[in-house]
Amino acid sequence: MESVVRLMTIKRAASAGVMAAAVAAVVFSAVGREASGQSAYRAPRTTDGKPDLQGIWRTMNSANVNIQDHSAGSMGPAGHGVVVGNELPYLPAALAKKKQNAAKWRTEDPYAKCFLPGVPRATYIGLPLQIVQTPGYVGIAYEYVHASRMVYTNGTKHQPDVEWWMGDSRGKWEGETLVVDVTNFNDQTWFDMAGNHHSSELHVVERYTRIGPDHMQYEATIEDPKTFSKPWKMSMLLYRQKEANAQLFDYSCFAFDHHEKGLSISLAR
Amino acid sequence: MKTRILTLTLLVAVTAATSPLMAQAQKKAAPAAAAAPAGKYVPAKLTDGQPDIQGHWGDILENIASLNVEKGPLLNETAVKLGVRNYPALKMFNGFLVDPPEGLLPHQPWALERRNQAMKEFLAPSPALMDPQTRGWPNGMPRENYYSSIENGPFQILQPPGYVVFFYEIHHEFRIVPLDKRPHPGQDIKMWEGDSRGHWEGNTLVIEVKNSNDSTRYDVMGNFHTDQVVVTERWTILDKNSIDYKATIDDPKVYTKPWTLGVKMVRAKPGTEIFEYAGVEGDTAATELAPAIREFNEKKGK
Repeated sequence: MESVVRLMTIKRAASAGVMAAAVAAVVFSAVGREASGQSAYRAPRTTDGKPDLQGIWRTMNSANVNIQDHSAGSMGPAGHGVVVGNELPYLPAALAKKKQNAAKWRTEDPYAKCFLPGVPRATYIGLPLQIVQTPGYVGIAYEYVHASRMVYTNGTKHQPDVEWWMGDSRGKWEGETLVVDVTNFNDQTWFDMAGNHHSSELHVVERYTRIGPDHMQYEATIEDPKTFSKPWKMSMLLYRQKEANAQLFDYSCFAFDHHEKGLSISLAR
Repeated sequence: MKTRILTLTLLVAVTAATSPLMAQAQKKAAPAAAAAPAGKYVPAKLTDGQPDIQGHWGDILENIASLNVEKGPLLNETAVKLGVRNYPALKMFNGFLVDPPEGLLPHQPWALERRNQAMKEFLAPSPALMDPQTRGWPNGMPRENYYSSIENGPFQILQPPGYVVFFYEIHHEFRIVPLDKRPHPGQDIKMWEGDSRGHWEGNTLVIEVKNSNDSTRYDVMGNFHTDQVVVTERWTILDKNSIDYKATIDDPKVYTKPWTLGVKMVRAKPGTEIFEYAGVEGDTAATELAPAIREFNEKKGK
């Protein structure tokens, strides 16, 4: 039963990926100019004078399939990699583990189990996220399994002794950019279906910079001395969801099977 | 699968019942549920005119309401007879209903039967009668609110202009509540936490929740709803550190008339942060509590 659930999840993810890729192809030329230029766009401000990043955003790439260049396959559509320079500086043992992961992606990818996706994968998992801001806090809500994060911009320090799927996020503002330092990860999440992985030593620095009314540059620097010989970086665009009725729904894939079999107390016979 | 669910149900009961605040529950339940008119306290206003209720909050009762919202035994008689868990001080309590005043839910006959079945089988339920909470699945509205507590999983309220946003520690859930009177999505869209639309009436935040799915329930006892339920929440500011919370449940398929529960929400201490709650991911409880489950099954003659 569980493998059926996983396969269904994967199929859904793949078809969503195909759609996103098609949309991306259409939109890409239009935003190319805005995206490629290091535009000096100045974002509107929140009440406390910080760049306003609020809204519903999503990627239009297939990084959830593979963060490196990849052909189409059973995991999903082809796509440019989002890794700057495309190469990952794996240490030998970690590269071997990546290959083992790749062979077992259908069952072993935490995404196939509908687990919390980690950071930065939550950003490019293929479903929208919503950013809300108040003085001292940037909340990020994700449609995927209703994952959520609080980014503290109130000067507080990382939690000392926790290990979390989504890490512990502390942010600061550098001009137009929200810089988020994320630590305290467990070693359970993957970067993609292709089995790219990390240890609990993972340290992520994200940079969110609006480059126009409806586009945001997103970068994530990955540092993990147990897995990689040096830090490396992902870079991609976030697009604002513009429909007047846009809102986050939920994607509680862990319970799809339950609903599709009608296993609810109000229906039970 | 079944084993894990049983385990987690036990865990929920044990966690709640061993809480230091448990003993105070009876005492505090009555005033919390009593009518609480808006007092003289004048909350600070935000730039968009909203009364400021930002910060970390939770139910002071340590989620006891989540065990049973109505007057009655906290654990079912079968469990008590088996001696699996027995809490003499809590065999009966007053529940959290404001209306009906007698403290009992106005079930439709078929719904009472279903609820009783869930109650009877709660230590070894069928998949449909399992409490979603035992699997780490979302609690739905309003249970996510009164399952949250200041000590064991608060929620944080943020109020960016035009919104009230709830980030819950429990189930890493959230609600983004627009205040601009936009309509609910189409009723074919169902969600675990439903869809929330809010507005302020003086010092009371009123939220209407529709689009709920049919899988969540109100307590361990098995009191439930259909996907036609409409929940109306009223968050009335009492003072800087307390809110009177009431939720009216209107679901004619299950109940003969609307009913209302009430709890008091209190502000968590300064410096509180939300931790990660990875319920779906963490299934080690099944292993840890395996002996208790074995014992239960043996006594049951399995």
